[in-house]
Amino acid sequence: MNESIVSLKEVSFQYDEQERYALNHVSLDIYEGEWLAIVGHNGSGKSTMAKLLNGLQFPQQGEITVCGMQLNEESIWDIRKQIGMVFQNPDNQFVGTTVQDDVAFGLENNGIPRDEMVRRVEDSLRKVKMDQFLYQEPHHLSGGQKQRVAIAGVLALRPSIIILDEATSMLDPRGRGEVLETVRLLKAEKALTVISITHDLEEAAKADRIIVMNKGEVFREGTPEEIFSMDEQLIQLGLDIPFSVKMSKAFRQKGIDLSKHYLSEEELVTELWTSRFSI
Amino acid sequence: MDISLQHIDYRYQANTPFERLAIEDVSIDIPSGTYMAIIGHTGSGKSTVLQHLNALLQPSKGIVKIGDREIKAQQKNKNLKHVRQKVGIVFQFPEHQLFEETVERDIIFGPLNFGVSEPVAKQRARQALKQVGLAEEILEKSPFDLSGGQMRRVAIAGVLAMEPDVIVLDEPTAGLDPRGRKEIMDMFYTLHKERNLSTILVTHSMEDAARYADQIVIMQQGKVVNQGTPEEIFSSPVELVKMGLDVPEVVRFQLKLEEKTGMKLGKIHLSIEELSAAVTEALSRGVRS
Repeated sequence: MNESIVSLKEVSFQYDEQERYALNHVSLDIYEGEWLAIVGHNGSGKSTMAKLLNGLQFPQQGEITVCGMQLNEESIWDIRKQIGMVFQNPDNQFVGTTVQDDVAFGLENNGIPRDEMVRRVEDSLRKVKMDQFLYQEPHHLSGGQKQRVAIAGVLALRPSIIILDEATSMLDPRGRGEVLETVRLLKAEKALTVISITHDLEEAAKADRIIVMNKGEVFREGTPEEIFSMDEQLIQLGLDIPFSVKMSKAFRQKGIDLSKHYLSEEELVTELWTSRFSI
Repeated sequence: MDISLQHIDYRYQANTPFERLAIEDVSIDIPSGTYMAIIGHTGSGKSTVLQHLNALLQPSKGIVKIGDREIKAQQKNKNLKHVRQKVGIVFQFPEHQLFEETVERDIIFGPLNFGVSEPVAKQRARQALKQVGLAEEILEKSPFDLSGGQMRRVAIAGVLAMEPDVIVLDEPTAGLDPRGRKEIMDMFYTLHKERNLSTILVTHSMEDAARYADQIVIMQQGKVVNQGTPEEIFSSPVELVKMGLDVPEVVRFQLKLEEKTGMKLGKIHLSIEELSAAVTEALSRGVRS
């Protein structure tokens, strides 16, 4: 296992005027280079966790360490250089008047020399397939296109950790696939650590590891296979189960004797194919 | 209320160097009581079409008929209030449009604007709140103290309180968790049936389109490329895949199964229940023969 790059110890957080803790004594480690999916229903505390990780909020209790630095008022500026964040709604994070200005915004703030800046803007827009739109104004882009620009803006800053806070939830299937593929390639090339906060179990299935949040606590942690075998429990948590598991269950109810609930459609098809000869 | 788009084009920033043709020669008929899903890529023109449905945009060419009102290109269109009241649009992330001090004031804002008296508007607010599954207690709260999911419901209640005949939904469940998604979609479906509404759903979710819609329109690069019932649309899955669109998971599974096993189920099944029954049937027949 790689080194821990983010570590939460007994972290609790409560919003003003809320009785319940949004996060309640959460301890966990995120490892360098991994793709961690954090799943949970609305209000389970997963987005709060994202906000704590780059100091948008500070925990009332507990300790957060990012890239070896303890997170506090003094360290947040250094920590934010390490963590890039992409939020759910692109309209709230589009600051430039054109696509290229928007991507350049963060670079300008960080004093990147102009030559380097131009290179990075084009390069990161190419990676999200928005390099044809350099001079477009944001209100002419669709939601998905804006989101890709937002991701480019983060990529241009070359952080070591990227947090996707339901960042693909507005994209169409192809767009979502392209963005996730981009993130995956980038992660492979640059040893980027990816924290994806998502409801999309198909997306979570691609992660190395999944953390399930419920009512501000870590409910379960494991590989996608381990998590999806939770079955009905996931539905009770307001989540869903993968299609192939649902399909397996339907077949069983119809009296087809399957050896297990399958996580992959291919495996299920294969078993049905063989069972054809055995009924 | 029947809606009909007849050969419409729309150009953004017409007569400027930035002119861009967003939709071209789009014709769609939405008879009263239809549940129609509009599917297409990001940038395919779905949202542009949607904004014609209550005359937020005026076509650059062609005619939009909304009930007995005609919206034509190059013509001043006044008094659109009635149209806007009858066609309610729930935009993406509608909770971002909440602005009032209390939930009640936010919900009655629309009806009051359309000339409904305050007592009636308040009555409607209570009813709408119930429909979206929220308790009356929150009427006096600030909408900004609510959770994201509750805010979404309040925003939807604001549209319902106008008592529209047509509801247009632009990705109404984006960002909700699976349970919230199902609750909202089921709620709209119940309303659709109970009030005999026309519902137009703009979505990326093939699952929702297959489950709820009577008619599906597929858009690509500003044009309507296919239109039909879910059965018709998903019976030619190869075309959809070529366009970079998905088919519902259950259809994808049936195709895989047919390909691998040589089993032929005759028609496309759009639910897990139907498909598992058909496969079980086919398997047992296989044994007998």
